[in-house]
Amino acid sequence: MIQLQGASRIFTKTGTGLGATSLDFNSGEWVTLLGPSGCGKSTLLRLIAGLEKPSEGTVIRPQAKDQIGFVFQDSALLPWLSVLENTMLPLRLKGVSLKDAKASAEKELNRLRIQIHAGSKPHELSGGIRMRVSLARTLVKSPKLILLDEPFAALDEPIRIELGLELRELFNSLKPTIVMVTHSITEALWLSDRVVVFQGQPGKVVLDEALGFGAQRTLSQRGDPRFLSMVERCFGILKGGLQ
Amino acid sequence: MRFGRVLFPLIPLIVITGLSEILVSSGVIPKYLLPAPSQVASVLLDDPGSFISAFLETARASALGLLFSVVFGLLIALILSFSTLVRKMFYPYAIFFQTVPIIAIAPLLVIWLGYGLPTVVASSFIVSVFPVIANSVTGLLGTEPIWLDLFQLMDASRLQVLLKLRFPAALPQVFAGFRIAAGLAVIGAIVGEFIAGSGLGGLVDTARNQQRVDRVFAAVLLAAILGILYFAAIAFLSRILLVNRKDDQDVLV
Repeated sequence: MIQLQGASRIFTKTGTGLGATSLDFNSGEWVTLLGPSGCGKSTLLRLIAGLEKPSEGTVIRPQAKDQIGFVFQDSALLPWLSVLENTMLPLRLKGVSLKDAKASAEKELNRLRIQIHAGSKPHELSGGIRMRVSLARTLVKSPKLILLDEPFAALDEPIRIELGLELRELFNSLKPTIVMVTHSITEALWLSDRVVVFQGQPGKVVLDEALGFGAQRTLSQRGDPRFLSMVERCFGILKGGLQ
Repeated sequence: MRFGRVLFPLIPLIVITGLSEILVSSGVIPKYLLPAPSQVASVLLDDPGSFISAFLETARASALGLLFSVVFGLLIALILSFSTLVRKMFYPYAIFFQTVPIIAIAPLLVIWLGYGLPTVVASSFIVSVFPVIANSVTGLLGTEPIWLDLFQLMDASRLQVLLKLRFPAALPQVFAGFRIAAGLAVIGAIVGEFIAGSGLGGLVDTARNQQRVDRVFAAVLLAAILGILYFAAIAFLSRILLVNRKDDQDVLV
């Protein structure tokens, strides 16, 4: 379990960042953070990952860094490495042999159905495939915690939906803890088990709600009245914050 | 596109060569100030032996100077980028080193290293090493923050960050430094040869004393060709090593 106990990270120059926040993230739960730009959602992910230190409060998280996977908005693939080499990277840096790292990386590429691109360089790939490679590179470490920072932001809507569904299936089978940041209310409610909405600069939690939509996801769920009423509720909160 | 790359630079060359031939032949510009291109060509053809020998001497000295610059410049840059403390202590001296005019220290080199190859190589090295250091340090320290975050999350050691991330990410800028150094290595060798004798620099010095502007131009032409050859060799090498790197396309052009 990950715990934030009054943790804050405020950037003094801009006054933006995360205000004092206390949150628990349970194991095997998919939590999505929603809120306007500058409210500290990505900062919260960076605090959990250990990439930032809190200004105040504490963050309790897995000690071993290889238990944490981070998927950036920009897929952050290294342009001089092939898809396979990018996927193997976390294991190679840990000292895993080339043979074993290659086998594990190929398994993940197969799982994400991108093995055909193993020899390609990142610039030869579409945005959707690059994001799949980034996911494969994250999954190759078998992380217990996956942090997703607007992973679908740069993708077209059909690819977002397709990749979202696949990610949910992966989540259902692997059961890691996922904390995701997105600007899309629909995406947040459709994919996750719980949504946390932030408001203000620095950001504060204004809604923390378990969704109870079950484990399986289908496109038709997005037309469900309960889903739509939740969309309206979140929209109202976010709109209120803007006004 | 490839055809255009060769053709377009040739257009100004042909125009300027033709124009200077006409202006000098017709007496508008006196021959003792600017030799006609045909006169430079005939000087080269009349005495090819001495020009080839001088060219090879300068080529050897500048190639060694450039090689030392590449090897030591890169090594120094790696050390400077590895530690902030070391960088703060020594980088200002690298800049200071760059600002010292080579023509002023070339006589010292002769005193220390004597006449001949070592002085010329040292002069070539001193002039060409700084762009390698400066460009490489800039490249090594300019790594995308998101990649640094990624390596931090993968618990990479400092050495792994340097060798597996910073260095490959910096290669386009490292090669840009090499390309600048290529031209400077020839200039440094020529300056060294002015003082230490021999090579194209020695040939220019002798021709200058004899008021042989045509021989000066012939030597300058060969020195320029040498610089272009180095530049092309490094560009070729960078194309091979940086193949398939979209992030390098802007630098390669």
